[in-house]
Amino acid sequence: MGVCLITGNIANEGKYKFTWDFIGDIKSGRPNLGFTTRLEVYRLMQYTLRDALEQEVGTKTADRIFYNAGKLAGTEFYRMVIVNAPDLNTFIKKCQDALQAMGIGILRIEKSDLENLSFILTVSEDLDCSGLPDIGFVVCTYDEGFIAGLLEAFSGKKFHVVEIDCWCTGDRTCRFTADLIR
Amino acid sequence: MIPKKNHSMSGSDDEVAAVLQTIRDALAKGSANPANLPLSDQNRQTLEALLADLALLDSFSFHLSNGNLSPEFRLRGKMAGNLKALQANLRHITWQAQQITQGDFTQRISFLGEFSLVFNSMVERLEYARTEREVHEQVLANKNRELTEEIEERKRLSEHLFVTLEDLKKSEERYRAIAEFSDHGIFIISREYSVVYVNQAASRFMNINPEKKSVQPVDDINPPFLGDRLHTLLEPVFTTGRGLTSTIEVPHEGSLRWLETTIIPLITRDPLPTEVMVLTHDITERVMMEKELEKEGIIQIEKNMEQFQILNDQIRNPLQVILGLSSLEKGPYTDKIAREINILNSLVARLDEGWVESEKVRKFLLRHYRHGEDLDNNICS
Repeated sequence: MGVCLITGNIANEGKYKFTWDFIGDIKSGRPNLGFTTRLEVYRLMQYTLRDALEQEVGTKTADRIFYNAGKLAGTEFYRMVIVNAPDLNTFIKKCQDALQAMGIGILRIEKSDLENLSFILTVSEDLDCSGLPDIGFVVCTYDEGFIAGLLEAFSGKKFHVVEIDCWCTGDRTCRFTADLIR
Repeated sequence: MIPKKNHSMSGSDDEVAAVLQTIRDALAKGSANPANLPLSDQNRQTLEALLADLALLDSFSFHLSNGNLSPEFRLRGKMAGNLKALQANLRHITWQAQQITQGDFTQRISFLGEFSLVFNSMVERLEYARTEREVHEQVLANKNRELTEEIEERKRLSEHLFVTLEDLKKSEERYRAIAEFSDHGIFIISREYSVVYVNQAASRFMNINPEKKSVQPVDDINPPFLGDRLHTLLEPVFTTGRGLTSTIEVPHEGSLRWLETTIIPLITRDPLPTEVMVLTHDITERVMMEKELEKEGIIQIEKNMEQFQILNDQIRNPLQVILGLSSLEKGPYTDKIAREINILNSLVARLDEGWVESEKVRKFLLRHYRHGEDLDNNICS
């Protein structure tokens, strides 16, 4: 993903307030190694970070931080990658294509209740847990937030997203519920 | 190294065998009863929990096999996870099928093996078929519109034609009445020289049967030589398309009749006429009157000529006498008298010339009036 958007000062209110400048010009930065890396590296980064966070602030707060980070990512992902989706079907199609193209996961819709704005969706072969052992609890907190961010950026409405099935609960695909927050 | 079986282990081994058989029964038959197994409470609870999980797996897989995707399955583990993944995929395919039903042909399935290939191919065919159908519907709609417009146009034309036909009918009746009650003989002859129409005046004069006019040949017209004469007149009109007028003499009921005959070609789309209209007008009275006038004219001319001659002689002679006497009696007025006499001679000479011209006219009229038939019953050459 060679996106480089100059928005002015990289650090604004906080030192690491997110902008796409933090994605940078990968093409010029890694002319030899390119855009991709190994999934193990991604997971190493994530789970060591979660470990450190948990030790500092506890499990609940660490999960909340991770959820919010995922939500921020989802919002930005819609803004820069999905861009403009005029209707739900187009939005889903664009998300499916983008997630697959970037190797994030295989997105599928199980149910969509447009009247109540309630959805059940699955992400197979996802980044966070595919191939992980059954440890008795779901771990794709970041994905929960990511999905919530995507839906909110598309619809303008807030959603509560919960993972109900995960490799870490012995399943073979990550399943999420997404419900409108009224 | 396989441990030796000792007596203290044989009871546990049997229990294990019984438990395993119970589990096999559960897998094979769908249920099993561990009630009579010699197990500790803890082991019995573990076994019962296992059998309950197997029962749930059995139930859930049964629902899936029948296409019932609704049940929620809260069991965990690899097997349960595989079944739930299957359920998730089937639900997704169902959702996609619903989108396709609503007209979204962009739906595609990925990473589901040969099912993906077949499903995606099916959607492409559906989209193609829909596009084809839309094209055909548009073509049909256009054709339908064209047909509707054509029908409306024909309807308008038909109504217009009906009005025109009515007008034509009235016009025909009007002209037929004019033709039927006209004193002129009117008949229409086809290119095959058949009389296809004859009015009452012509029927009476030419003895044409009005009932058979459509089949009566021209040659059958009475008197026969009239048919011949008409035949001769008709031929150039049919071949050139130009009309003509001619006067025909016809013996009729013991006397001669003169018919002024006008032949008018009836032009249609063919370059040459297929029918001609023959108008005949009896001009016998006029002809007779003209002849009478001619006859009186000639008579009058001859009388005038005779008068001229007599007058000339009666003038010339005295003039010569005067001239002679004047020349004998020479006097002062002799020359003048001689000039005056010359003048009078000249006048008489001019009268002679006038006589000559009158003679020419007379001869012309005689030729016109039967080659010099006697005007007063005298034969002239």
